Amino acid sequence: MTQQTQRPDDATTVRLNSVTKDYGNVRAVEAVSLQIEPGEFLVIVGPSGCGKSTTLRMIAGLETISEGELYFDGNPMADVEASERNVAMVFQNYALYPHMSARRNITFGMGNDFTDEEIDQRVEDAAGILDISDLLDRKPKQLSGGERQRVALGRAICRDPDVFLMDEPLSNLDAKLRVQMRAELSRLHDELGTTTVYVTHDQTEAMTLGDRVAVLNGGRLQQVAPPQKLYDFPENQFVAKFIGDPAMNIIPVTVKDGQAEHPAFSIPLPGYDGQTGDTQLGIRPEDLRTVERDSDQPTFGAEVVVTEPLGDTLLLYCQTEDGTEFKVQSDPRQELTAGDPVTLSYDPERLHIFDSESGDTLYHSAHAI
Amino acid sequence: MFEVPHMAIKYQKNWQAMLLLLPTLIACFFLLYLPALDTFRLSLYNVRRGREDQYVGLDNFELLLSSSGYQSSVFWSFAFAFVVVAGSITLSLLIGFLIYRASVGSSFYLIVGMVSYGFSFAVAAVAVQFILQPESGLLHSLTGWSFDWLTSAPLAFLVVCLATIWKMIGFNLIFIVGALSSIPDTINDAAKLDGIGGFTMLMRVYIPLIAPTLAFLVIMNTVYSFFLPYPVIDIMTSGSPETTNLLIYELYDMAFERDNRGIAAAQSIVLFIIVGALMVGQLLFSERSGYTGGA
Amino acid sequence: MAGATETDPGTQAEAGSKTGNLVTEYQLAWTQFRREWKLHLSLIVLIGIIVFPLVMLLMMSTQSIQQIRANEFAVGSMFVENYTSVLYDQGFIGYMWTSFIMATAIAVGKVLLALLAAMALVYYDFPFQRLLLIVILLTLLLPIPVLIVPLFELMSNLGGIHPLFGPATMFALVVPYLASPTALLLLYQHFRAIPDSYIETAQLDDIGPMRFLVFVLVPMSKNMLIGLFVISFIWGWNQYLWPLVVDASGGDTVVQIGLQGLMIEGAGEAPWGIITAGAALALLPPVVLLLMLRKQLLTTFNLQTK
Repeated sequence: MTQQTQRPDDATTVRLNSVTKDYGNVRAVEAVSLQIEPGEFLVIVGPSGCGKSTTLRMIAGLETISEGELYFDGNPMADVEASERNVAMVFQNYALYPHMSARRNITFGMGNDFTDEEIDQRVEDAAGILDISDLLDRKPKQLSGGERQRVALGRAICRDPDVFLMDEPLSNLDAKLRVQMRAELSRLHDELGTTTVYVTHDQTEAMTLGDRVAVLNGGRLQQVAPPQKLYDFPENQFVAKFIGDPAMNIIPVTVKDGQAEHPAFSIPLPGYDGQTGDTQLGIRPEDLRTVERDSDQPTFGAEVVVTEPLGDTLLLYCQTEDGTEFKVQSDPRQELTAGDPVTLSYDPERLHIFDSESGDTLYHSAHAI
Repeated sequence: MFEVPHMAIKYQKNWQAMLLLLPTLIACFFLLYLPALDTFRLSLYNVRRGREDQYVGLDNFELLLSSSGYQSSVFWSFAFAFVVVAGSITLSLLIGFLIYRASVGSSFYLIVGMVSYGFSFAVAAVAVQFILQPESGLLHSLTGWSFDWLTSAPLAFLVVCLATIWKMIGFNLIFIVGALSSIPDTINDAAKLDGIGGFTMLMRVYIPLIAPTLAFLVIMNTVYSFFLPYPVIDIMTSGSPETTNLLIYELYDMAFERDNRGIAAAQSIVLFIIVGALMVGQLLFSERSGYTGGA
Repeated sequence: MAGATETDPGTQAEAGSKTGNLVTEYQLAWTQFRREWKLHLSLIVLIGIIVFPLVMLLMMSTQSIQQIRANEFAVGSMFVENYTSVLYDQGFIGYMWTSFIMATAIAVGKVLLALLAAMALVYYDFPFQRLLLIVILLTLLLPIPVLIVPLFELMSNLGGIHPLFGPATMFALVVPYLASPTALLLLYQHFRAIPDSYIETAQLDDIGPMRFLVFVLVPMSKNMLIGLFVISFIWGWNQYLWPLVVDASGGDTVVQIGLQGLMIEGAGEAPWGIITAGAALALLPPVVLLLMLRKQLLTTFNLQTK
């Protein structure tokens, strides 16, 4: 494996500087600034319509930038055509030419940059990495979804581009295949080291694949950070709810005297010096658990409404007396059904407080402890 | 949120686009638009071979519109269009409906039925003529019947209509079967369970569902019937009796036999107005109903 | 359902199960046929009536005058004589050749012009693009029969410049048919339906417009291009009025006019054997093309065959 591997100092830096995209009166992307390090695998994630595909297409040059600048290795890209940016893109529908064999699909875009021997060598190498060597002479309709995916990847790899762009490439695959391909993409990135920008709406993909994850909503960048940091320290309520499955519980509370007050419980917030009054308390289902009634940890009571046994965990939909609903992820083999009372405890290091109006994070208990 | 409009990126060198468009634009301009303008000019002149063109203003049109021969031609052309369209579409609809409902052999029937799209109106004229020729035709040999349609005005009209209807069936059948095929099977399944019979399905369900296609066929058949059946007339009746002297036949005769291109140009304009009105009607209708099929 | 067989998974021999399926298919078809017999009867009658003149025509083209008069419903004995007479004595060899060149040139020309124009209108972005599209589509209002007077004049004038362009030439026969708004519209819609990701991939891979046209668009439009070719060939081959106008000066004309010439000759005792042979020749190429390539034709008309 020789020509394909890029050493980190060869890889390209991509920088977006307050990039904005308008379609007439509609602002699809607003003031997004990102610096993608050489060789980094950056995932842009967000719900449908958040502007992530548009941002990717602006990097590719398939959309013009309304405001702001884009740089590759410090070179401004505003006047550079898509065909000259040396980027390769993998589309959601793969865009494989139906009348060409897999091999021809891969080589068709390689143009005059390589000699014939180089082309053959590259195709062989890529096919080897992607495990499609036996499929090279088949046409796309003779290939399964996962195989077509890999041919599309092969096409991108063989171009030896400066940047890989991927627009929801796994969305058309079934769940099992998606898990498999995620691992393969990771492995591929480790081997090749090319700067990659990957777009998805699936937060699991984002967390597993990204060196860093950028969360977009409504065209605006919410937070960009490594996955664990995003999970542990979300900077606003949107990120907190978007990252993590099942989603974080958000419960309205009143903060008074360093305590989060709620009809069903009163939880101390150590080291809290933010605003008092009405705020939102965030706690993840996995940071709540069922305990024995007379445990010596801080507890409160609730009633089970729905149980979802997932095999490795038991997801409980619970309700406190005043009607507040939340989810608890607990041990799998408990005998619990709807209507049962439970005693719940929580991890004091995993509390978050959000501003009720702006959604910004006011407090992470982990920082205080 | 909102749906972001995506327009694929295009090629940039617009001079290439101009080059690609040039042949078509040249053909349109020199072979279609310029001659069209020339027609308007010619219609205002008295044009005869060997003599100078004389400007006559709207005299040609006055002549035409007041000529009883021309009025008769207009009448019979419309009558012809009506009969042909009604006859051909009704027959094609019936056959298409049967083909659609057959669960076996439908492709075979369609293949045989579409053949008349392949051969020409001249061939159709020859085929109908050798059957219906008075005294020497096949019909006479087989049954002894003989209709003197060569001199009988109404019979000549009907015979010419017959040949044209026969020829148009193939074209209409292709479109009707196609439109019927795109009806979702679930509708038929549901109807079967409800015990709804074939004829009811045809009138209440199929025809309404393929109405855009039918409208398209009506317009196209009408437009075609104004000039495509020229060979039928040329071969079978040469324009007489006058019930078969259609506008297009008059036009050719005036231009190349009676050698008055000025009047012929005026006739062309009348024909253009008729055809144009029909085509514009079709375009407007398809815009409104969203149907963009065509051939 | 008659004929349904149970397959025992894993124990049915490959060859056995194949013939088994074939038999059950036929049994199934026969049962359905019998159930709808009235429908099929009507269809056979109707289709039979439609096809009867054609069958008679073909048969009569092989018969002698006596056999025709005797209404023999069988292949006759004068096949060779009738056809050689029509081809050589009546000059149909020349007519067939003229028609063939004309129809092929029209088909190739129409499809090529429409292909290039559609490419320009879909994959480029320039001012007045929509306007030009409309200008081309408006020519639907100008079918050739409406223009025969000025077109003939045009060809006569061009003939004055150079005999290659005069009325009785292949040039005059072919050129008026080359701009096809319908072919353009069909290809235009077809190109627009191709997902954006294909052109975008090509852009990112720096694939130029000609390579894209030849290696991507054309193969992806294969059926429609063939369908358009068939439609245009049939249209060109079956033309009558314009070839009549243009060849008034004689020379080798097209088959359709040649056919009309045959009909005039036989005033009184018409040589139907020869006339039908001429008609058979006139109908053979377009009908054969239609039947051979009907799948592409039907696809172009946006159909699914059952």
